[in-house]
Amino acid sequence: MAAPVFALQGVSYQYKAGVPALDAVSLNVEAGQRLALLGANGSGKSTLLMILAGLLAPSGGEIAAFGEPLSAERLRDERFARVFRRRVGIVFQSSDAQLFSPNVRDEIAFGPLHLELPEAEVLRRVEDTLNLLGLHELAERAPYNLSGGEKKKVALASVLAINPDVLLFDEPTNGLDPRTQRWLIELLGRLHEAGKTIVLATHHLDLLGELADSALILGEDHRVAVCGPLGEVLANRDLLLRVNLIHEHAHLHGGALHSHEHAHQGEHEHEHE
Amino acid sequence: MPSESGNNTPSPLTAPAAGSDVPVWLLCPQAATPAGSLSSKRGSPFLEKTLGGLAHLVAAAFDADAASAKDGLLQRLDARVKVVSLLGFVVAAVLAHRLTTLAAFVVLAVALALASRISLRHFVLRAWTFVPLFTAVIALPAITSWVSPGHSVLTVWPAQHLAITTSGLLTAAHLILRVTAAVSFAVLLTLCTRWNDLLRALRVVRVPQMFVFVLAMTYRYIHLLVRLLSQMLLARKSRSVGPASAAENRRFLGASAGALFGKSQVLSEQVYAAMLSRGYTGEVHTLEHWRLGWLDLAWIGGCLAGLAVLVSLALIPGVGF
Repeated sequence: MAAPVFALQGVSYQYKAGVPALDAVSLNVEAGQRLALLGANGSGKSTLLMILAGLLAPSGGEIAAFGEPLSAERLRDERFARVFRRRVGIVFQSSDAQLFSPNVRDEIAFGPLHLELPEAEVLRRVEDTLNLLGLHELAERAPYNLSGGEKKKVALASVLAINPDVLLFDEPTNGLDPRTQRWLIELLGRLHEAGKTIVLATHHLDLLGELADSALILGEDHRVAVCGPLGEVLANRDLLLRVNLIHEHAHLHGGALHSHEHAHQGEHEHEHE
Repeated sequence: MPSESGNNTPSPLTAPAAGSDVPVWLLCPQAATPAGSLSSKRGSPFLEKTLGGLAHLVAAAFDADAASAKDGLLQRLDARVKVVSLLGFVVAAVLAHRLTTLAAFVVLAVALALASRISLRHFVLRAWTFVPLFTAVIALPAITSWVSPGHSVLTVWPAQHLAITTSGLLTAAHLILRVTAAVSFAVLLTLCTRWNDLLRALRVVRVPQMFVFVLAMTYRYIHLLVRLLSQMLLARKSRSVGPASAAENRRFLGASAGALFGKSQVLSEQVYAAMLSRGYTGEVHTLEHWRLGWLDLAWIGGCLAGLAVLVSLALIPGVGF
């Protein structure tokens, strides 16, 4: 059996001494898996994604990617780094941080160029990605002058052009209008069918059924509260309440979490399932 | 995420702290008539001015981007050729002694701007407003007989023998023309070259990598920081009525400078991470083809011919350029 895409053993991370952002996280991500990282604000989802992307080195524990140990030292080896960066792409939560080139075309070309793809291939990928995301009209515009949704698309394009096997997303659907959200979900579905591994951090529990088939929940203590198939994880209402992920008025209907608005005018009896 | 009413729209809420009831005053409607006396005070001029300044900065960047994308003479030249030749023009203008040569350089700069489809107004505003005017102020004492004795043109203060002299006017004209020509060529270079090409060309002419990198990052951040700052100012504007006191403005400026510094640090770390994740290892690559075309060759030929004329003039004793 092929080595897992990521294997983490007791991984911890501290931004400041004594303030853990992640604590003893163990996790396996298999090829082709769609994993959702869930947790309340500040539970460490983004930090975990940064560690998976090889952008932060864990303060403790072991991490292996594609069967090889991943460390800051290994990533200093340019050959190893090039292979790793080609295989793992990350779309950041803040598109502004991700868009730094003078125009959209250069932004999309940045990854393939720096990962030393042949120039003809770079040009082809830039064109194809512009087409795929409908960005042709924006090709010569400066990314920092685009709207929020357009920036997100360009950020996505800049990563897709690398054609990574593993796609890491931090809040992919945030700030997108419903139509673009739907479009993105369908695109991720197609990429999954093509065998890509997808790991995403999100708060949108209602979209999860279409985005992931397994879920990992980080508790407010920055440890793994649960990891398993999506349906099982979401069915555990007590746990979701305990990690402050849902509101006490949230319900599970046919596998999807719903919450209803409650008008608290006067006293009323209300039962939760 | 707000919950949508009535239609069972799936939208799980993140739990607020238990027992946090909405205070009663928050549920009361706001009175439509002003509570106090009506005043004709406008919004804070400090805010308006700063917001206006920021908007102007963004507009200037738009203009520069638009100018470098035009299909003009200088835009078509290879960035390396442009950097070397225009910097050469700057050096030549600084070394020139004859008024006619200096004037010819200024005319050349204007001709190049026109050939590069830059509007004259835009060019004059960018190149000739600040630096040459500032130089003119500095050169002001030099036109008088106190600094440059000589034939007097206009007597200003007879008792002190203060007059404007021809030699003084000539000295000032030299200084101002020299600065104008040098600044014009520098502005032409930045206006007609895409930022990334300029950076790459600077690498080609051996400007240190770290210097180029810092320049690149600075430019990338300016836009984001300007947006952050204008959002902070707008947020304040939305919550304030009438002009604020100077002390309040100072406090606000201090606080926003601190907040901006913090934000920019976080952002810089994220940008660097984003660059690393897409294969950045310290060397910048761009899509451009660096191939010299016939236009570049013709340009190089023209520049060399000009250089030959200047050198031969310099070599003739008593002539110079």
